[in-house]
Order: sequence, then structure tokens, then C-alpha cells
Amino acid sequence: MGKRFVGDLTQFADKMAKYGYSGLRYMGQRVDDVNGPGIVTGTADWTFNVNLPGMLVGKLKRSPYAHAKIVSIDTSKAEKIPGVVFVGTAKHPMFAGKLIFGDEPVLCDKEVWSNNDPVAIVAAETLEAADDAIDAIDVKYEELPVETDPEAAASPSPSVVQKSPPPNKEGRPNCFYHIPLRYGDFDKEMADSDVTVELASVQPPDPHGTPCTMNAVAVWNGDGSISVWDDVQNIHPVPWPVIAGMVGLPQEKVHFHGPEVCAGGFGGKNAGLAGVYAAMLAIITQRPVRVLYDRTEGLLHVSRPCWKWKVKIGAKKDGTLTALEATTYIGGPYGRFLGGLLERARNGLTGTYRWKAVKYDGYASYTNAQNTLSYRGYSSPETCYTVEMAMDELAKKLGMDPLELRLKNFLNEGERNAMNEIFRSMGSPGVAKKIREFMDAWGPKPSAPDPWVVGRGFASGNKYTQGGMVTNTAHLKFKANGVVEIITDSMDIGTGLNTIWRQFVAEALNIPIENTVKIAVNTDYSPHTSNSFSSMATFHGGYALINAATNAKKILFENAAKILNVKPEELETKDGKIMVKGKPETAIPWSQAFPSIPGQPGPASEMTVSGGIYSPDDYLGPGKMDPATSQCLGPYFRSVLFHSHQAAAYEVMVNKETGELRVTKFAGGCDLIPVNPTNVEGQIEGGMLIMGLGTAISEARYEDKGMYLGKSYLEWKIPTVMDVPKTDYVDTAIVPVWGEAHGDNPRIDAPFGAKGTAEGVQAPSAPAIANAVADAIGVRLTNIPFTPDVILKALGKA
Amino acid sequence: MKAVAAYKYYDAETVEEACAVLNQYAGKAKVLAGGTDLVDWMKRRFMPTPEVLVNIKKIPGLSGITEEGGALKIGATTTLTDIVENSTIQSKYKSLADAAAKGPPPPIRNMGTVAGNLCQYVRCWYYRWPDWYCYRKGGPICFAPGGRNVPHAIMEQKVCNAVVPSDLAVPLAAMNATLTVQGTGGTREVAVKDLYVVLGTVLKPDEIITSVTVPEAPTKQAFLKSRVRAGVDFALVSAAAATTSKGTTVALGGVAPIMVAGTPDAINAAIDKATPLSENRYKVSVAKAMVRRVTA
Repeated sequence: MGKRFVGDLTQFADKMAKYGYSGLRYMGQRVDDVNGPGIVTGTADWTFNVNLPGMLVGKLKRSPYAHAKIVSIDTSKAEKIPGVVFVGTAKHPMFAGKLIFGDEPVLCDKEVWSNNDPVAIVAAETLEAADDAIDAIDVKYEELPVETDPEAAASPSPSVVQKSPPPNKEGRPNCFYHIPLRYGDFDKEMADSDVTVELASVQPPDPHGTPCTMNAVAVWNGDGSISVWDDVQNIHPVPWPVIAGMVGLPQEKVHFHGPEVCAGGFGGKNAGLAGVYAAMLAIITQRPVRVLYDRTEGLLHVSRPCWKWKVKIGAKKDGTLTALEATTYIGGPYGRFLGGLLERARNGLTGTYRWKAVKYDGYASYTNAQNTLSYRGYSSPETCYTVEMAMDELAKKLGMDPLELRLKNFLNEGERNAMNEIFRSMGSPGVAKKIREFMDAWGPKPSAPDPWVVGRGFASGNKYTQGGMVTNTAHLKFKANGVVEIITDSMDIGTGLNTIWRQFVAEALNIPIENTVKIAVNTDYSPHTSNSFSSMATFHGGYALINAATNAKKILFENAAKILNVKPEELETKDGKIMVKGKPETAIPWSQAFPSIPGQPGPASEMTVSGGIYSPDDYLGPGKMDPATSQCLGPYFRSVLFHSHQAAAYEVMVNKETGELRVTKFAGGCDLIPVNPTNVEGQIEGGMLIMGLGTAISEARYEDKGMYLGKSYLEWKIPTVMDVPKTDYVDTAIVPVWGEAHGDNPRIDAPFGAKGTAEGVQAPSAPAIANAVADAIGVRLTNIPFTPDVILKALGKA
Repeated sequence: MKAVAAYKYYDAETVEEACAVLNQYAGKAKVLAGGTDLVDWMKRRFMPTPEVLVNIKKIPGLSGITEEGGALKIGATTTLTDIVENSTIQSKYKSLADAAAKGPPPPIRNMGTVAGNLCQYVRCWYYRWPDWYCYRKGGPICFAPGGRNVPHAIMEQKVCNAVVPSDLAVPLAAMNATLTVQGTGGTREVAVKDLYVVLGTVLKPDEIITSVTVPEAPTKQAFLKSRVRAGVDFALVSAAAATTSKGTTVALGGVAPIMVAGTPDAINAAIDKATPLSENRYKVSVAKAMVRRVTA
């Protein structure tokens, strides 16, 4: 077992006290995952475990081509297959519309823009019949020119103009989004630099690879409503309104059930489109329907886009950073989520270091690459990647230690960054130093047997968490037997949310955690608490829950004070009882202090109390952002809720004859107060060590004319347990930093100071591996993944 | 991957019975042993689903590892786990145990068989997905040379650039192993190095492999395999060498649609004449280095 560092949390005792701190009874504790037994025995409430009598199977016929004209679709043979109940195309009014942002057809009619675009849909009695029908649908295509390169697609004179009329942003026919950032006197600062480094990189599309593929069940109810179970990671902002809108029902007529656990989301389950198709088929067939994406669809339906970056950074001789120039190109067949990525890339560029000037341009264009969706970090890993490699090259040029260069330039707490935001909760220096300490403790680099060579690399990273897209409300239901029910809307997608929310409530109310229950998510009664994206649920959900607990205690103490003949502030609570401070003999159960129903004697049998924040927009403070410069205008205005910071170090071995690359040691950490250290360490191991490693060394994404060739887990090479270091060489560090939203109007504390970390952990891993590879072979590689052919080519052996 | 389409299923109790059913369906039947490749192949639906599967796993005597007069005999349905764990193979035929261990992960080793490993279909992505009507499927061309060919062949390409995916074939060819093949017309012997031909194997539709024989234990042997992932991955390049009373034989995997086996000099000469494609020139230097290492 490697090192497991968790910094001292008692230093924050005073700050935590106002949330009902009960002495770190559950906060910061290694509470077992509440879903653990259900997950390992397969009995957890996955969407896949929803089985209704008479349920049909829904499947989509998808395009093999990346760009083609649809000449004809013949469904006659498919309709005659025994067991087939329905075959539909865009000719059916239900499937004639557009999804989400209005540029993506429900089913393609005249043209497909991406390998995997859906062109027809089937509902059948069995999976076999559905697959037979999919094969029997005869679609005739006329292939059209394909462009998958986002930079070429952004050209003012591209080889393929994808859409009619073209969006033509900035005089670029395929470009539909351009985001600039202008800060400081860029030309002067770059010219005044003593040293500059330029790097370009390509990061190909990489799918989410969730263990549980997308699936949804829908049933048409007799009262004109539908019930939907969808494998999603949010409900209120996207899937629920999208489904209701697509089938033409008011939201109240769509009873939407979230899964208890969803076995990985990584951003790929934010749209929940399987639920749209299931709902449509359920209405048409009047039968329950499950739409199930197979493994191939799981890898093809969405991914992160291809990112191409060009970065130039400058510094003075003493290592003080001067200017950053960054240009990026991304693309996809449809606009969804791509514009937001370019906006958020600004946060990655300005969220770690102090720059005197920044010039950034991001372009999103239509290409025939794989369709995209949010992906773990939503631009943070892809943005930090090139900058962190450039930092190492800069250190080399300056003859400085890479850590020293970074320490000299980390933003300070309370300082304004290059977006003119006040920076809060800055833990980069502490995390970076701790990880470097672990790395140094590995001792000198071991000598590897020829032809293996060893290298070590380090990188920092940052991730923002957004403030918007939440309503931030939670209900707590207090029952007479002392049990507290947590009524919220967010899913545990592998983050441990179901456990840490119970920890928050048990800590704030000072009750045994066994007395807390998280109620199944259902839009019939669940408020909009948070979403399981943007690493926000710890902050938003936790805040709402603690606020509800605080409100509940106020009511209970006021009522108990009357019974006990004291003032409310003289009371305390423990294990579901209220007592005069220090006098346990005065204790009465909560139930005696529940409010009474008007006109009735005695307290009611239960009590429900809500909590939250008045308006989530207050996070951002008054002001606005200047779209021409991306500068935050106003004394406190900010573009994000909070930042988190990470660092990673890897030791790699590279075989100079075969090009094989193996990771032999790892240390990684992040800056936060952990609600559950085991949980955070799980994120560091799963997200930083492994998921980041996959993107950097093995998950090559081969396509030919935009048709993806790696469509199984043998061809898309997600790391196996054999690809990670032995646990003795896996060190993790949790460096506590009080979490707070930056800005001061008002400054908002995180619940018990805890902020989220699920996505950010991936930010430093690929650049740290790239830096380690450069150290090992003496050649700087920037296009991931570093597969054997790429490494041997760099060594002049291919 | 889709659901497996409908097929008939036949449990054979003897080899003769299996061959008779295979003969009856004349090329429209497939042999089912471990099923780890065949079921995946059928679920992708890129080739017509066989009319019948003939299960040979219940045939008595087809599985087992024995030594007979200095030779090693391995039954066709012996699992890869049996190979990895067998003490005779571990001590005298180590390169074969290494190849089995560096192949699939334990769950697949528990099901996959020796003959199945030799006869598995190529992994070429143009072949394995229905979107590409390639030469191997009966189409007009091989897409690899003009497309993506990082894992493809660098020598002996004729009309197909896919490579033999079997890990076991490499040390077996180096050890001069032979296969006993039985059909409706009787039995015959086939050298492992001669098993593969353009677009398939020399097996006739009614024939099955019943056993593998390694004639003598090598005095010196080695197996090396390079791959992207450290586990669950096919070879980019693999190499085996074995020294016996007949001399030293080197075999290469991952480089050609057939087995490349011969003396070290012959193999080095063949590598020098390699014809790599646009993206796989790296395999030439890997193969060279591996031959040097396995013969060192």
C-alpha cells in the first residue's frame, strides 16, 4: 500500500461549527459506501434492473457513413419479421423533429453528418427480433466528402461546407462558435519575454466508456402520462424537459425516475437520449419499451471532441510568466455542448497561473467526427494538457526546477486572475509540493533492463465548477422514529454521492448515519437540488441539505424551548433528542418538538423542512462578462462557482525497441476538505491514475473517412488492471483547503468547506505522463495517445 | 454487437459424428469449442450466421495434455488455463505457457481452447465490422493499405493484410509442432507453420483439429510479445525461438496473414524484405529486435 496523506481537518473546526458541526462525527470520515453491497451483488437499482411485463425492445438503425446523402430507406422487410411491432423513420411525425439545441435530427431524413447517426427505429418483442429488423432495414446512401479535422473545418475556405445555410462565424463557413479572451498588453508582454516556448497538440475523440451503457425504460400510463426510467446523471436541466418537449407533454405528465446508481457517467449520460426514444416508442406502441445501447453504441454515440491546441508561453529570465497565447479548434456534427467547452477552456487557461497578458481564441466548427457530449472535466483536462507540457519545456529552457517554476507563478488567494475574477480556495502550491515530496521519496530513478528506459514527470491542473443550471433545493423529512429522509434529485454515478450526502445530514444533525435514508429520485416529489455534473453535487447538494438541517433545528429548538422552559440557544441535539446543553437528563425526542397541525392538539407525526440558496445566480455576483475580451466586469462578478486544483506525478518505463509504455509509479492529489477520504482517493485512483492514463497511452481512436474502426473494448483500449502500478507505488494526497466560491458578494462557503473533485482529477494526468515520456526518451511527444507506433516513430524507428 | 441470430445447435459425441455433420452442411456449419471468438464473431453480424454450430466440447478424449515418447500431445479442446498451469509445459515448453499466459485474461483462458486459439478469425477492423465489404469477406479490395493499418501485416501480404492473431501458433511453429486433423476422409498431419493460407486455413469444411503434437522439448526457447496494453491485447509483434535436434527455428506473429517461421537467417532476410504499409513501418524494427532477443 502506497502513501495515503489526508491533511489535518481539525484546524477547520471553528469554521465548520456554524453548520452544526458535531465534532467530525461523520465529516472527513471513511464511511462505507452505502451502495457497496448492492453494487457487488448486482441488486442495486440500476435502470437496467427495471423490467416491466410485456416490455418491448427498442433499437436504432445507425449510419455507417460519416457524411452521406440518404437516397432511400426501405423498411418493408423489417416490418415482416416475426416479433417486430413497429418500424419508424423521420417520415413518422414523432421522429421528424430536432433534439436539444435544434440542429440534431431525432432521426436523420435527408443527410447524415456522423458515423452512428440514427436513421430508423424499431420496437420488437425480443432483442433478437429487434436486431434482425435493424439488419433488414435497407438504407441507400450516396457518400459525401468527409472532414473530421476541426482545424481544417474552421478554415475560411474549407473543403466541405457542412450545413446550409452555413453559420459562417468570423468568415469561416463551418464555424458556429468563436470565443476570445484578451487580457493585458499581449504584444508587449510577449515581446518583452526573455524565453518563449511553443507547442501544438492533438487530443483525439475519446468516448466515456461507461461500464453500464445507456438504457431507458418508458411506459404509457392510462391517465395520459408516461413514466420514464433513464440512466442519466442529471434530471431537471436536460433529460426531463427534453423528453417532455419531444413527446409534447407537460413536464408534470412525465414521471421521471433516476437510477439509484448509474455505473459511471463521465458526462456521457447528461442528455439521456435513450429516454427520448423509449418515450416515443412507448407512446406509439402503447407498450412498455426499453431502449438499450449496445457496447458499440456505447462507444460511438458520444465522446469528447477532437481538440487541437497551439500554445505559446513566455517568461522572464527569473521564471516570472509573462504572456500566454492559446488557440484551439474543436468540432462535431452538431453544436450541442461545443460552445460551452470553448467558454470553459478560458477557466483552464487562467485557473492555475498568474499571467500578465493572455490572448485566446477558440473555434468550434461542424465536422463529420463523432458526436460529442460533456466529458469528464468539460475542457479542463484538454486545456491544461498543452499548457502543462509547455511549462516543463519552459523550465528546461530556463534551467529551473519544474516545481520551482510553478510555485513562482501560482495565483495567490484573493488575487485577480486573467479573467479579472477574485481567486479563492487556491490549493495548488500545497498539492504540488506534497506530490513532489512523494515523487522525491521514490528515490533515484531505477535503472531498467535494456531496452527499457525510465522517466518521471509532474504536472499541475485545475478545474472550475459552474454555478448555474441548478435550483438548489433539498427537503428533509423528519419521522417520529428518529429517521431523516433525504429528498433530492441527484444520482450517485459512482461518485459516492448517496453516501456523502448522508454524511452531511448526519453531521449537521448529530445523528447516527444509519438514521438517514436517501429517497429514490423521482420528479413527482424530488426538488431540483443539484446535478451529477461539473463536480457540483457536493457543493450544491451539500449546501442545500445543511441549510435544511439548520432550518429544521431552528424549528425544533424553538418548540422544545417552550416545553423545557429555556431559551432556544440554550439547547443542543444529539441522536434525535433535544436537551439543555450539558444536561442529558432533560432530553426529549425530536418528535415532541414537531410543529402541530393547526387546530390539532400535540405535534404532528412528521415534519418536512426545505433548504437551499435563495438564488443560484447570486453565486456569480452583480456584473457581467464582456464577450469581446472575456473579462469579468463588476467588483465581484465571476464566471464560475469555485476552482479546484490538482497535481500528478508518474514514473513510466518505455521499451525503446517495441515502443511499449508502462506506468510503474504514481502519486496524485487534490486540494479540498474531504467529506469521505476513501471516496476522494477513489477518484484520484480511478480518474487521475487510470482514466487519465487511458487517454494518454492506449485509447487510440482510429477512423477511416470518419468511420470509427475501434468499436469494441478490444480495439478501444481502456486500461486494464495490468496497466496500473502495484498498489505499493500508488500514493495519494488530500491537501485540505477551505472551499469557497470566489468573489465577495457574498463570499459563499462550501458546506463544511468541502468542494467537489470528480472531474478535476483527470486534468494533470495526461500532461504528467507526457512529461514523464519526454524525460524517458528525450523527445517531446504532444499528440496523444502515445502508442508503440507513435513512440517508435519519434525515436526514428518507423 | 447484436444478439446472435438464430442457428441450429448440434452436440457431437464423437469426432466422426462432428465431421459428418460438418460435411452435411458443407461450409455452412461452424465448430464450437470455447466459443470465445466464435460468439463474438457471430454477434457482430458481419458475415452470414452459420446454419449450424457443432459443439465438440463434449467429445470424450479431445482434451488433455500427455507426454508420449518424448513428444508432447495436447488435445484440441484443452483450455488455455490448462496450458498455463500444466507443470510439464511450464518446465519443458515454457514459451508455450508464456504465450498462453500473455494471451487473453483468465476468464477467457478458462473457456478458450488450444485449437480454437489457432483457428480464431483475424482481428482486422475492416473485416470485423459490417461497414466494410473487404476482400476477406468476398468484396473487391483490402481497405488496410489505403486506410488505417497500424496493426496490420508487413510481409506476405497478397490480397489481405490481416495478421494471424493466435499467440499459441508462434511458439508452436518455432517448436515444429504438428496438428492431427480429422475429416470424413480420415486423418492427416499438418505442420502448424503450414496451417494458415491466404484468407484462412488449410482445413477443409468437414475437418477439425483433434490434437497438437510437439515432437521434442526444445533445449532452448523464448517467447516475446509486444502490445499496446499490458493485458487483454493481441500482439503487435510476437516472436518465438526454439532450438531442437533439428536446429533453431524462429517464428513471428502479428506480421503476416500466414505463419512466418524458419531459420534465424531466413527470418532476418524476410524482415529485410518486408513491405510495410503507410502506418506500420515500426513493426519492421520491432520484429528485428525481437528476433535478436529470442535467439540471444
